[in-house]
Amino acid sequence: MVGEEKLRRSASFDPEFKWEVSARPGGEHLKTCFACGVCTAGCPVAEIDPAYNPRRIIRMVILGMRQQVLSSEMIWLCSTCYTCYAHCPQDVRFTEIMKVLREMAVEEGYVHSSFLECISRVDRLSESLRRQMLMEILPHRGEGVEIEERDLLTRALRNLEDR
Amino acid sequence: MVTVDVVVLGGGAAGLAASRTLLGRGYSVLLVEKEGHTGGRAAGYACKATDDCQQCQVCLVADEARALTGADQLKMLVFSSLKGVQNQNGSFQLDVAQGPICVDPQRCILCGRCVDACPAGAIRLPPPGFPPASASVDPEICRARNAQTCRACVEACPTGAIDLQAAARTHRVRCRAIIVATGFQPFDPRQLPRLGYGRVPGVITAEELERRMRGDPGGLAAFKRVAFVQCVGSRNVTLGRGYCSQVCCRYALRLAARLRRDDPGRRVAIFYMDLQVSGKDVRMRWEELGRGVELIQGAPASIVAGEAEVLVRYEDLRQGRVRQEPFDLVVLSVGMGASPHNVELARLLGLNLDPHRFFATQERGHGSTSRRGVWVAGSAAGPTDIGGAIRQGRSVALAVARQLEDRRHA
Ligand SMILES: Cc1cc2nc3c(=O)[nH]c(=O)nc-3n(C[C@H](O)[C@H](O)[C@H](O)COP(=O)(O)OP(=O)(O)OC[C@H]3O[C@@H](n4cnc5c(N)ncnc54)[C@H](O)[C@@H]3O)c2cc1C
Ligand code: SF4
Ligand code: SF4
Repeated sequence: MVGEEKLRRSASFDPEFKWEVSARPGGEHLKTCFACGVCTAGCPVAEIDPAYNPRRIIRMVILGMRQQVLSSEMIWLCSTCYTCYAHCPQDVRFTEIMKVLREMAVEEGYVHSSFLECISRVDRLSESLRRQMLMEILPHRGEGVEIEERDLLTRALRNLEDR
Repeated sequence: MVTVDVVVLGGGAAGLAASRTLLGRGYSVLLVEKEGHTGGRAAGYACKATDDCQQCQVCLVADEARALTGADQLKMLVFSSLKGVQNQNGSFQLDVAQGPICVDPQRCILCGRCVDACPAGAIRLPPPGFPPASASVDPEICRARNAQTCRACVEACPTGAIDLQAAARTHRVRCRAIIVATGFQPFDPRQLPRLGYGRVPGVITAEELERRMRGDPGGLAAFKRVAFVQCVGSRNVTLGRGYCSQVCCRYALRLAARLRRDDPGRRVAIFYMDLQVSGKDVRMRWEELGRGVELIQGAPASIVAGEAEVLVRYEDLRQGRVRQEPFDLVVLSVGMGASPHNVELARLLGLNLDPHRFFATQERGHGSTSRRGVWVAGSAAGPTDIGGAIRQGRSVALAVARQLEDRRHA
């Protein structure tokens, strides 16, 4: 809670923020969150980046930390895997809220509009890389071979360039 | 044709209390029970006393059952359920279907020799104190009833109480009022695969823990690290179960305290979103029960098998950190849901169900329904603890008595 406490003190609060988010398509269930932490504990991004915390982002929106949230790098890290959406007992639909926050960040000038296009290119590239890596190991699926993931990545990149 | 004043459907805490109250006022009662004995769910639960009584109320059900012994105005049909209802100007005519009763309760002396003799495990004794005091044969499992030759139990029984040829029957019953006390269904955690139930060894439901603690508490000694997970199938809007089951925090705290008493060296943790413990003695109980039990705020997202342990993954809300911790046993505190049979029963009786498929009553806890002469008591109307079920059983019985009285005078 230490980090949250610090943020709260330094923040300027905008009580309208939560209403604006929940008025947008996808944001409707924001305020039903009861902070159980199931979203964070199941999130694959939080697993590799402990600073990324869906539950905390929701708290910050509800508290009205508009500027801190919309300017934060955090809102761009979500991989839209929908795990939290499926697990949440309150049907908060965090993945959709994340999309709302991104829209608002663009509209309010926190990010350049070309950034969105850039993110979707990154997403497409990660998908292609994942597919290439799988193509490398699929032929061995009956044998249980040991494969070094970094080699896989290098090979996958090479294959992509060759195409 | 059997004629009684009141038919009580279901012999759990609520049905037993309703029957007792009516019998005490001089009314005749037919108790119709689906299983082979009365007591309901709580007949399988453990006493959770540590050095002191923890007021878990489990023994109150046996008290209600004991009070029925020798009541001559009481008839009881086990392995029975309602099949048809006709309303005849102010009274009811019911058809009750009863499965085969292979052991004669008049002759059974509960010696248990049949249970030991049966090669198929088809015979059970009732938990002590819950009538009828008779062994019972499960006709689905019994070999002799399934085209095989076996007379092991018949030969073992010293009193000749067993008749494996017994047939199913239908009883026609006339009565003036019906009390529905058919109880609840615990949540099936297979609906939340991420919690591992049925796939990860070492993940059990609280009901299973209750039974093991009652039957063989020593068998739990190997579990040195035990976790409880709260709100499994409760307060979950996504599952269509947005309500609080009201009993789970209290039973989990008491089970945890008993586990610590039995082995003070063992770790016991309770994972919760927020604890719902109400009642006037909350604060006191809270601290007393919480002693030595870790209360961890953070609902687990997943439970998986480790090498020789069960791994619980959750966000520690105090630190905002995701953690994974090992346990030997993980107990899912399953909530109380409506019985799947409510739909059929409501159709037969012309009753309404609420959005969660519990029986709708006109006033909560009072038990009158939209159908005159038909009442609902206990967890058939929504989550309640044993004390609540007993209180509802009594108050509904008193209301029924008042109605029968009015009609007698009219
Ligand atoms: C895991 C767990 C632990 C619990 N621990 C505690 C505790 O420690 N203390 C406490 O106070 N409460 C506890 N509870 C709650 C407790 O189980 C209920 O309060 C209590 O069982 C309610 O009694 P009831 O008579 O309403 O229903 P039930 O106990 O469900 O009894 C209903 C009876 O009706 C019968 N029946 C069902 N359908 C029909 C039918 N169609 N026809 C005829 N008969 C039928 C059933 O066989 C059963 O005998 C616990 C609940 C759970 C899930
Ligand atoms: S899982 Fe749902 S209710 Fe729980 S903290 Fe996340 S958004 Fe809130
Ligand atoms: S949708 Fe985003 S926030 Fe939710 S679990 Fe997936 S990566 Fe995490």
